[in-house]
Amino acid sequence: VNISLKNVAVILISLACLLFIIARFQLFIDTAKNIYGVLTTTFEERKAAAYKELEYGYIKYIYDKLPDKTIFPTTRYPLYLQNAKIHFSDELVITKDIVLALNMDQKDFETNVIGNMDLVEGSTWSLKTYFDYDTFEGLSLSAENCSADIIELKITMYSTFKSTEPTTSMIKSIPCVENQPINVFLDEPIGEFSFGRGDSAFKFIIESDFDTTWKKIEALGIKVNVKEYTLINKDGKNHTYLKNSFIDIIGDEDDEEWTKFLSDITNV
Amino acid sequence: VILQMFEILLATIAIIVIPSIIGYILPTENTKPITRWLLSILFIGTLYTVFHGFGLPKISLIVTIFVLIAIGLYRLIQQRRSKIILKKFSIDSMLIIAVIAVLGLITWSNVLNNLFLEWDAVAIWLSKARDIYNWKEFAGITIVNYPNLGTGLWAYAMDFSSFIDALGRLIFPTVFIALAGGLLEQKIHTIKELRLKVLVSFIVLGLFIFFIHPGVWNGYQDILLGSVAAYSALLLSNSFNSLISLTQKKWDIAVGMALLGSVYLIKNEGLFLILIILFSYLVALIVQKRKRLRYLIKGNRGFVFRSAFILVLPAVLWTLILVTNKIDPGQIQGEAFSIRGVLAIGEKLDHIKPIAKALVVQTWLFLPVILLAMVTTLISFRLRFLRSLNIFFWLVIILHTAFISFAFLATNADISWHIGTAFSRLINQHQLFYIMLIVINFVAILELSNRKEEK
Repeated sequence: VNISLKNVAVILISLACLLFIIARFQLFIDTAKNIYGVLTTTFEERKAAAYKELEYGYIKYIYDKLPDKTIFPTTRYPLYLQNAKIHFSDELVITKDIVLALNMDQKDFETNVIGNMDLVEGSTWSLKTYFDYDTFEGLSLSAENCSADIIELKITMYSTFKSTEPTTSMIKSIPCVENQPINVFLDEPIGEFSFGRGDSAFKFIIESDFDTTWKKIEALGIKVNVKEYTLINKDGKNHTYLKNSFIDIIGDEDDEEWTKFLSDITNV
Repeated sequence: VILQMFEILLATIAIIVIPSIIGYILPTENTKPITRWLLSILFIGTLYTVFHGFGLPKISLIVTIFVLIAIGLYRLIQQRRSKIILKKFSIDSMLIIAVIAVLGLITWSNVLNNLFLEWDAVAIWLSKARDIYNWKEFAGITIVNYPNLGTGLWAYAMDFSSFIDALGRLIFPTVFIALAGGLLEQKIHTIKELRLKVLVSFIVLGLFIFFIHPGVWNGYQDILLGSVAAYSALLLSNSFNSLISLTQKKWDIAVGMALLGSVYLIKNEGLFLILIILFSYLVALIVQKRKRLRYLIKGNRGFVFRSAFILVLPAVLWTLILVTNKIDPGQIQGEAFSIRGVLAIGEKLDHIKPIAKALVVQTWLFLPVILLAMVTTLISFRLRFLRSLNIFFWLVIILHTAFISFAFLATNADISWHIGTAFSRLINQHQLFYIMLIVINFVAILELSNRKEEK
């Protein structure tokens, strides 16, 4: 190794490292921002900002007020289940007595179209819901042609295309009006209907006593069914619901801590 | 905000001060401060793994750590009396501290401000750390067959500060920074001129800043694994240096083996990196000594046996923990890998294209550093001790790249998903070797030129 080679190495490597530092200059700007963030906000504020999508800040507000720290509310999001509990503790037991409906609108608590059905063959239809829905309530059917004013409809539903046992089956007489949607509701809505389904399809057999062709069939349901719940807290699009029976128990047992919890968080 | 400053201070004491004090138990004449710190912090993590794994009460662990602190303090006071520490404080130390401070500021501020963690970091590693923090029964912790050194350290930092995951997560970038400091600590004293010392410090800083990516602070264990493995190789490579005394070389090999062995306690796949480093080291040693392995062992049997014992001890302890808790020690990964999957590799040749593409992307992203490593290797290759060192490090890089490619060829999981989620993390595990190559070769070139100038 001679001196000139040394000088070449010095110049080459120094220049390269200088370029590395310049290329990563954003890192220094980020560092300044990070230091400012640490000096002006608390850990909890920063965590709430980091997990805004999970609505961590709202969940933490409710969780901190719970008298029983071994339970965790059921958390519901617009699309699918996200494990919010893991940010608190794995040990917590999820309770259905308290439901946090996060980042949701009023329509998410009401009956809506939850999926369009696709004709597979003959009278077999498939329904993909993709996201999470509490309740399946029925169908909205639009006939292309009607051969009678009243038709008898037999609807059989299977949870998958491989299932042999139907989840539900019913026979209903409905008026048939061409190109006009007719809603058919199940006698017993199906709860805990669609969770973590992705694109796995439900199978429907829809038969009628007359030769009816369907233009469009939609599934009706509720994203978050709060019919047995009472809204006690609302902050923007975040809602806390308590089960009516649970509120009754709090009232009956006159539990001081839970009563305080209720009074602390009730704002509606 | 004031309270959180106090919490950060406590975490700093847990992560920096306590292991530094415990490090004084080690002989200071042979072990430099950053190496002592690294050994101590990994020892604390091993203690967490062992005490928790064997179901010993947490209080016994805390007492053990306090006893170690007391012994370390005693040794520190002894040495302060003999003023050893003051003598050692020099311009070298100031430059090392400056590099550590800049890297520390960049990484720590990021950990403390950006609290978002990727899914695996939350669901696996933080969850494990929380289980250890809560001293949950071993068999019931998250993914029980994944080892616990990193998560044990995460729990330790939270134990000694407060239960805030970011404070525990500070451990990982700190070990990464320790490699930068350790690299300077090992090499800077060989340079005579101040301006060149400053230049080398600047180069180390530049290279480590270039390497920084979210994996340094996002809670994944790969940065811990890669940094410890690289540090062990750095110490092992001292055995090629003729300017280092035999006693020091032996000590560095022993410490290197201890660090290398602990890699198995960080992640299961660390086993393969251990084997690759060990194999590459032996090849380089044979090349340098021009002797067969059995002649190298001959006459050093006691030392070789002790080093081998240090190397395998963590793996033995971990296997014992699994067996004691009735966990199958043969189950080292999830569903992605199996013997059947490896045997059926012929049916997975369609994996080659996405693997090659991922390799090209990773090489492109790190290309400037790879090129610099190549250039410095070419310049210094005619020097005998550097030749062995270069063979050692380049073999690690090549074999580890080959191993990763093979692993993805054999995966049972969807190849696009698997490459997307894991490929860069695994490649990062050996990328620090490029940086070490550049720095060590460059320092040797400077040193040799200086010697020529003096003549």
